[in-house]
Amino acid sequence: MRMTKLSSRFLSPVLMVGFAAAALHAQTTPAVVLPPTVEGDWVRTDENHSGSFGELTSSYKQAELTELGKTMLSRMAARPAPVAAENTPLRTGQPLVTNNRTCVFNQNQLGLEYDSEGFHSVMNKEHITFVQERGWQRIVYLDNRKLADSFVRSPTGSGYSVGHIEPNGTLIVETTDLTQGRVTAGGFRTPETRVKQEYIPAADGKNLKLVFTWSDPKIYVKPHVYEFTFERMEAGTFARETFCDATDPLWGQSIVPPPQQ
Amino acid sequence: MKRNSVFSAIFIFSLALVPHVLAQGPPPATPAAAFDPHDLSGYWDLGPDGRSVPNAVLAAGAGKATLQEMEDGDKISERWCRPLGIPAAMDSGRPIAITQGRWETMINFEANSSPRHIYFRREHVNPDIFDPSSVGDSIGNWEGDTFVVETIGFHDKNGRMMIPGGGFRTTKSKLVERFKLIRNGQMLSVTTTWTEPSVYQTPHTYEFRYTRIPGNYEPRPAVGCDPWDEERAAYVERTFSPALKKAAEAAVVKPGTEVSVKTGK
Repeated sequence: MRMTKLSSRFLSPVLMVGFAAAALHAQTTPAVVLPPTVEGDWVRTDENHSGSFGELTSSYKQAELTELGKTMLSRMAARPAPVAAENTPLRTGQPLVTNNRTCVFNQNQLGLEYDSEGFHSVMNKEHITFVQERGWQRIVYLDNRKLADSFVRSPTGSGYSVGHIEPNGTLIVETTDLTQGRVTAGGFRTPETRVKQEYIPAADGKNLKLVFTWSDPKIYVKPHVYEFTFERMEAGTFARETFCDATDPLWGQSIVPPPQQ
Repeated sequence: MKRNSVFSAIFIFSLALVPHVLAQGPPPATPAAAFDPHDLSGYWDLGPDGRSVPNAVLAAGAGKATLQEMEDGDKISERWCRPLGIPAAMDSGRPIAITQGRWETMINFEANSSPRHIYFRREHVNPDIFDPSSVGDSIGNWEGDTFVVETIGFHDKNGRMMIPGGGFRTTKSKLVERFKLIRNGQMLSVTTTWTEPSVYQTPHTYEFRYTRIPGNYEPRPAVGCDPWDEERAAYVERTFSPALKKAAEAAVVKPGTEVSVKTGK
């Protein structure tokens, strides 16, 4: 379309004002470029293509324990045997019992080693809160407080955690005061054990690497290191609720195979 | 000579300032610390005088028999340690923790309850894919200095059903809460309105006022609850009628019982 002289005279200032307004708007409300952050919703990934819960960490380098560490680990009660043997095909309608304990609400303590459920995290200036979908939570303080001696508080499943954010968005967390128990890949922990967690978000914010370093000279010959990987859930995702319900006969039987063709 | 004149000048200048300083009187009171009315983050305690709850105007659908049924259902939930959900978790007897983040505000409880995720969105999750829950599906948006939270999608059984002031929650209940910082940010007002025509003749509104707990507060784990603890069960069921006790026992399938499962095609 050919522009008349009048319209071009009229439009030029209008366009200039428009450009100026756009530039001004761009200055006052700049395009939001978010730095990588651990905040948000994450689901764990199976980088090893193991294909089952039992195999997920089987390729991890096993912890090198001291004699005392081996003794303490051997004294822990064996985990309950799964109801269905690993990798055994289920009959039609036979439930896969993913949790063969009874439903007991146990004090709202989220563990450090997020399972296949993934996790959700929300951060403000003072702390970051992690939750999974079973109602458990964990807090990491970001306000420069120090880790207190382990005798100050009663040990918990979450322990006591302090952390800080690096300029690249990595969250560094130090934790102690954990209840005694097993650790992934043959590790063990006591309330005195310290673990460092590095939540390292990818530059594009879509993936997350979580590196664990367990240190306790009484238990480990050298620090026990391994990593989990996660991917960010899609925008618009939401947390579901896993309701610990003793009256629900299907609690813990989360997967029921449909009739096979 | 030059040094003396400098000292003299300073001395005279200082003397000149004395009346001015004295005229100011005592130092002014420390101004109240500024607070961000749009940041609800913190730990909040509901004190004994923090509840302003009128009696609800109930509809025909909330008759005496129905109310008794819902109350009994809550007792059975307590017996079996079912999580509290909304509204009970907002008044659990322990502080609530609000963390306001980038994409959501989360409320955590030092009680047996799922956390609340209040997403900064305009639309609810598609009900076709949302599983009803004890805390529902919450979205929150700011209207001036008030954070308005709308919740739908409540489960028909999970969570306590009874609502302060009378009435109960159903799957069709709509909850609107208006969070606002008052008293220089040291108090949080939460005005709660439940709407459900089969339960209430008019929307039922009440207000809780929570007091801010100092920043060095550290939340503690909730008290555990073991539904299989027989001594606890006997204590909890002490006030149950025989019929309610029977209903409570019938509500659960004992561990180890084989359950037949319907499967789809």
